[in-house]
Amino acid sequence: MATWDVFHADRLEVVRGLSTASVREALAQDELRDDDLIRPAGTTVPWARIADFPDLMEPESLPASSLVRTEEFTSEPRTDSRDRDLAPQEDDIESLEIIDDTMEEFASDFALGSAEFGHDDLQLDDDESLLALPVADPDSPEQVPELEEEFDPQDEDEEAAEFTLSRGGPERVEELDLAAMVDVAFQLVLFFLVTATTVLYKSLEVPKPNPDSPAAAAAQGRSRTLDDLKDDYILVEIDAAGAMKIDREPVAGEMNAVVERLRSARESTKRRAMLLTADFVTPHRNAVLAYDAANEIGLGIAIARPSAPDTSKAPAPPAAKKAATPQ
Amino acid sequence: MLLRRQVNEERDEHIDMTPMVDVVFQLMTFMLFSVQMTGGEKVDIPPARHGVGVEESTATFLTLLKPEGPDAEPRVLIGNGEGTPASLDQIRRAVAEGVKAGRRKVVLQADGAVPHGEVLKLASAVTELEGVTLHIGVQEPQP
Repeated sequence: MATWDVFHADRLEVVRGLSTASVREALAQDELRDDDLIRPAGTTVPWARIADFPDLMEPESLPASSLVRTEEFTSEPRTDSRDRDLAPQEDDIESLEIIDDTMEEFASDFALGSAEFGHDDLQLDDDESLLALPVADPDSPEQVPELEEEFDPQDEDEEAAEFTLSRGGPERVEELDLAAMVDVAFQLVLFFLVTATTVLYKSLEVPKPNPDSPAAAAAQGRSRTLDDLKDDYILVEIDAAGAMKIDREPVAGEMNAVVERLRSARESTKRRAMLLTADFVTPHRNAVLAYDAANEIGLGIAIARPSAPDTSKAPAPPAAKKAATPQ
Repeated sequence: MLLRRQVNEERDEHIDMTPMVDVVFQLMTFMLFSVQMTGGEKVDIPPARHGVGVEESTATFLTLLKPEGPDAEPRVLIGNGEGTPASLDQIRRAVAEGVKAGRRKVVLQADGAVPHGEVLKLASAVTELEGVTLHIGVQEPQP
């Protein structure tokens, strides 16, 4: 007789060792519900819902061994119990036949109900005794009723292990959640990206100004008037407020305008360099604008050093080297 | 049986807070690292479209701070936006040490309002030393 463990989901209680008949009875009395779980007694197969076992609801005889059951369970798709009742399928009929055959074997071997017991039956070690229960003889395994051609205990174990009350379908492989790993990998990449990148500071390369102060340079007699210088350089003047003049013509203090003027000045007179003459207090940003414009069109840069406001000397001559032309 | 179903459904709906916390920490770390890299904000560097890149390890940085008043003394810091105000001698020494250590470039990070003359004065003081290339620090033009 197949015994079952039953798990009552409402009471959260396990009842062990119920026979099939008692299970059916409990179902009929509504003590057991479709949602409750069931498994073969004493095994550790996963619990299965009773609703998936319509066979328990129907009054058919079950085989003593679970070996035959295996085929039936794993080939069943997960269906509603109602559907199965409508159309008995071929599989069921075959298994029913197998069940009937095995029951016949049992009946023929151990028909105790109708036989008459004689005195000889009390000799329990005699094979002919009807009272003696079959004992599994380790020496002769063929004495055990055979359900299949060769009965191997190992097979039974393996098949019992394969036996599963799960809903069928392919074996589910344990899935590894990769999302976390991917996140950590991206974190690492970001971290190294940000820290390993060399930080580049943007700068303008400018020629070294004349180390001498304007006064000293003037004393050495190297000063030239701005008009003389105009022949060699494009003259860029910036006053204290930041207003720019290119070749004595005012120009808007805006990048594009300056660039245009410088370009046209270079085209017309073939001068290769710009001379920047700015007042001492001119804001630095205007000077940077002039440098930037010169770099844009590849003009050489010469810087005239203005004298400090407290002196009254003329601006020093451009002793600065020319910056390298186009980068 | 209906009740049991309801209980089962409710159990599935808890939102797991752990990934959200993780993402917040990620963002924080990223911001921390990226903001540090841009340097101090003490000076308003003038923008320029063209410029050469200078690696931090190859240059000595001198920061010229915005003058407080029209006739105030200019303050120069050794370092990029940080450091203590230094005198001309200290600056010269720092640059000389830099040259010995292989930092042949000097970058002047001057605020846009610093007088042009001051910048040149510092530049000429610095370039007295041999083997020094002079750069004026600029930043990307803001659109």
